[in-house]
Amino acid sequence: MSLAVRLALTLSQAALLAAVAPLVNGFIKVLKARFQRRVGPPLTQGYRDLAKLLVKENLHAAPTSALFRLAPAVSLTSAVLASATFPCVAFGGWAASGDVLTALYVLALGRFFTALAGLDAASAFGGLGSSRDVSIAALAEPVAVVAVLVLAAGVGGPPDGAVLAGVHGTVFTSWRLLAAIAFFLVVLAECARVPVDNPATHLELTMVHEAMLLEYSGREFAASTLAAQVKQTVLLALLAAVFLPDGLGASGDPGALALSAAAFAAKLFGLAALVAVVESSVAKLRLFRVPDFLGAAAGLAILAYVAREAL
Amino acid sequence: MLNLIIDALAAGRVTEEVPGPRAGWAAAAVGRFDLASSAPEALRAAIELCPAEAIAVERSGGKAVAVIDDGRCVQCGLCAEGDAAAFKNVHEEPAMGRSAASLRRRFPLEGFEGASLGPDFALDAHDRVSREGARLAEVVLKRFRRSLHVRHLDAGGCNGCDWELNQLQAPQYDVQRFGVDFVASPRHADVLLVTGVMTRNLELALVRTLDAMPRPRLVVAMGACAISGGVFGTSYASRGGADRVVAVDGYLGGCPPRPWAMIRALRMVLE
Amino acid sequence: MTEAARKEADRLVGRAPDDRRALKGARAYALALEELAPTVGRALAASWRFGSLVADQPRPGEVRLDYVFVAPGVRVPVVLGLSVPPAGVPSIALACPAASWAEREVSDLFGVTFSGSPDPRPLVHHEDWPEGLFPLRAGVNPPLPVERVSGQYPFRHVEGEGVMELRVGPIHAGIIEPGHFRFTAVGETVLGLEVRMFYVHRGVERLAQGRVPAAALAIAERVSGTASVAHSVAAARAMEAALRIEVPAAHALVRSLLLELERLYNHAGDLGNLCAGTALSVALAEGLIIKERLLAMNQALSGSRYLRNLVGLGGVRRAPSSADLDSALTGATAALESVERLANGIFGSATNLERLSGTGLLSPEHVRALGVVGVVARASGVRTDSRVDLAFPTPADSEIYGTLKPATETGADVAARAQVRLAEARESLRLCQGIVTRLADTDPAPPGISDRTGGEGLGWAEGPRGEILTFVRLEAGRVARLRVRSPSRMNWPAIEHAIPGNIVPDFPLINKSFNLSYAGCDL
Ligand code: SF4
Ligand code: SF4
Repeated sequence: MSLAVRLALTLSQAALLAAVAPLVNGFIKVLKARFQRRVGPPLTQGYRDLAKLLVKENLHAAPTSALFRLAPAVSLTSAVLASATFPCVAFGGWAASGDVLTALYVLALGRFFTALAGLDAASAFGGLGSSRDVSIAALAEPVAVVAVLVLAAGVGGPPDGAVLAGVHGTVFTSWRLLAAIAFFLVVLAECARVPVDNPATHLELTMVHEAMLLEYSGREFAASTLAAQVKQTVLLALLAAVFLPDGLGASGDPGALALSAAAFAAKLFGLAALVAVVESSVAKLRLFRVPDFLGAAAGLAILAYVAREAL
Repeated sequence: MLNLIIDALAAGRVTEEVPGPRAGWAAAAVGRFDLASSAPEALRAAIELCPAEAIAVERSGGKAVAVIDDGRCVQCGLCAEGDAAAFKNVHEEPAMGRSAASLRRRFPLEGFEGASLGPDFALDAHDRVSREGARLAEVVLKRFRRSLHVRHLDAGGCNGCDWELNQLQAPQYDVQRFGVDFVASPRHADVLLVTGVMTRNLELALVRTLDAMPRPRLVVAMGACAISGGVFGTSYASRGGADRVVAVDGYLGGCPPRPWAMIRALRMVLE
Repeated sequence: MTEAARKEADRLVGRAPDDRRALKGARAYALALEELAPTVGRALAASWRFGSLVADQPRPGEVRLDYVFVAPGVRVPVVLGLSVPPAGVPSIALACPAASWAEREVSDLFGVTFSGSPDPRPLVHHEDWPEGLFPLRAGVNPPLPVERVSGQYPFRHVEGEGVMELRVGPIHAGIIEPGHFRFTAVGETVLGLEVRMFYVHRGVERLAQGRVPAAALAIAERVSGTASVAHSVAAARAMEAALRIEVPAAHALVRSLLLELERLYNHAGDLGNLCAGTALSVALAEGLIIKERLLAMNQALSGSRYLRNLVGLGGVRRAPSSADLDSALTGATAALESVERLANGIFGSATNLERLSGTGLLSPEHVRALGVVGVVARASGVRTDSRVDLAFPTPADSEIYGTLKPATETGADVAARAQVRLAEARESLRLCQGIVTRLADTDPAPPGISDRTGGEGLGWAEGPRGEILTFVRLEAGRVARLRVRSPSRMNWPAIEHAIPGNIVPDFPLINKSFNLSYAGCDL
């Protein structure tokens, strides 16, 4: 397979994930609405919101800099690129492959820019959100790294998404599930979900992620919103493809591809449903309890490692 | 932990269909008030009692008309009390429209002698009809109809309108299903929804909030207070309606307007 | 017992009630200027609670100050009346912090200055209000809109290493009323909070002047949207006291029913709303469902979702039919069942309970010093409830409420306030059942009337947020002075003491647990 074809396939996977990101988010919203005994927004509401934002003006508060204007594009690009390191549908010659840790660092870059922009807007809440976000990230990111390393230990070489998926896709191990749970908890924290943040809140004093976006409007706000949704989908996809690669096809023939695509979609939306369930059944933690929560995630990741060594 | 969800799923959905403007009125429910009697004494008594100065008798040429301003009426029913009352409660929502003047309903009076009575609505400085809203391109309106983000601002009411607005999020109304959502920042908003009388101490905040909203944008005033000041009118502490300070694209009467009417009014401004 | 308490009050003030004073619904004493401070000192020592400060100008050129207290056992408010020149009244705010905002308000609106006040800053007027303009003084009619001047409000200032200031409002992100909060915090921990109110000051008291009672009651219904019944009942009772109107039993009972239904829908809604602060979205939605059902039921009963348009002078404007009453009771009973399930969700969820417990503590000492009322006071273990502290104007209510035991909790935190609300919702339903049964064998009667057109009276009602005290003076059948003391006015200053030590993101939750009305405070 030529590099060009492979690159094209990888990029189309990234584009596809980005394209379904609003749908995944809409799915969570609709499910949450059902738990609240209501109909909820249309599944496609995310796209409608973006389309609307495209006709709106970009307003800037006077003191913002180029950084503020650049940050949405950077975080969107980083979120899209992060998905290029692991195969969602088939591995082997077909698949996207790369260092998964790089994916995490690329995502961190996006977050870094968003946080800087939050500070840049010079509103009290932007700064508050940035400082909260960064302190949560400081705890969440190492846990994510450890969870990935648990999978990579013993495989050798850098944690390549395709290789990891290939190794783990064939056997089911209980410790892999532990690592997956640890990573899922990190996803909740990274994607501003309950119990760490509340995406549905209107209370500015409690916000983490949204506080950093309060000053954005128009296309820039559209980019920031989409970036957050893509990041969420990419992290869930990473969980589905690398931590739970079961069902992933090894060959490129159409039947196997279709099966593996169906399995991936089921896992992705299943995980999204899990997010909705968690978000609907627990209260948000007090801010100073978030380290305990992420500590528990770290504990799980370490337990996964111990279990792996022991079993 | 999961029992909350399980209970909710077992209990089932409660979201209701949007009723027509005339459907679903309880027998006693206060709605709008129409003329019931042209007797001068009855009209005089109603004008005297009305706490919102919402009733007037206007003379133009040889004809007299009774005017009831749904932009002021607080639906107290005092003008409809007793057998000989000048007005009667008809079970319909108070008026909505694109100008404050369009909320004034006129009833020709038969054989009414004498001078004008009550407040002079013509003196009202209210009608700062926004040109921004009327000029919105169809493509914008179309996108707004599918995604409308609302920023609420209480300019100083009794909080009744705010609670009704809050009920739009109740699963029975579930305003999200219409693509409508309330947002935390004016920068994310398409509509500024004003409730409450325009107090002196919030004028600046209202102007600043609107300035922080990206164009294209709309301003809607809901409730008698936000239209005219309602029962609070103008005083040392307040200016009356929101349109004394900013241009307004849509008005909905009521004190407070009911949630379904609020949903209809949001649709009206996007027509 | 009441007689003994009244004698005790006479002894404390050192005289018999002032028989020249025509104020009804109160025990009024006339005081000389220099007697004020010592009398207030003795009153506070005897556990009198500061209720209200009523400034009025029955004669032009003279401001009369009435210091209203609620004294244990006396069963009507005790009024210490003072006729003063508009300067040089000694401030009692140092001894009685509860009176601080009231004094500042009277300074702003009437131009009375209080000497030795610990906090002489303006309260109602914001920084751009012209100096020397006192809008409630007789004969003051500035051209509108009142000009703006430049000025600055002297906020309290906290400085120190790592201390940052966070300013929120007046406009907030949610569907909330406007108010300004200034936090000083180190990291996420709050050191201090200063609340700046009166953004929604509409001049309600001034607007009521010159209105006939029915129109003034319509205004009173709109002092605070979700306490429409309580505010109009308090105002109606004050007018009825002033005009010596007897309210027939059937009318008094319907009013009490409305008061309890108002409490029920408020408490049910508040329990659900608390979950917005903890992101328990399913319970939040359930609370909204229950509240919507109660609002629809209110409308079926009264015509208004907020129970407006029924309270009138001398009784109620329209008697609900017995079928209406029965279906209201059925609706309320069903709603309470749902509330119980909701409460199981709220208190049964460990993650949620963890958020509520120990959050937003308000000590009983602060409650007493600041004259806090209602749910907030009772959740800090201080049993004040005007349904028990003060007498009912009619025997019918007294009988119904004779069995009432106000719910109290000692937790003094967000959880305790939620528990009190739940207990009160249950109690309200029980009271409603009693009232409807009593109504069935009470003869219908027309509302009470009177030939009088003038007089002064105090009225009260226990609203969902606590005690409302209203003073009315009528002249020639019209309101000459309306003075409203809402529960939120007493409780807002207290929230400043419940926040320090908590973290910034817990403020909305604590604020919701207080559930104060901005409109009711700002008037
Ligand atoms: S406010 Fe409306 S209902 Fe009340 S008296 Fe005036 S016109 Fe009639
Ligand atoms: S219109 Fe009526 S309900 Fe709305 S804020 Fe004004 S007084 Fe309150």
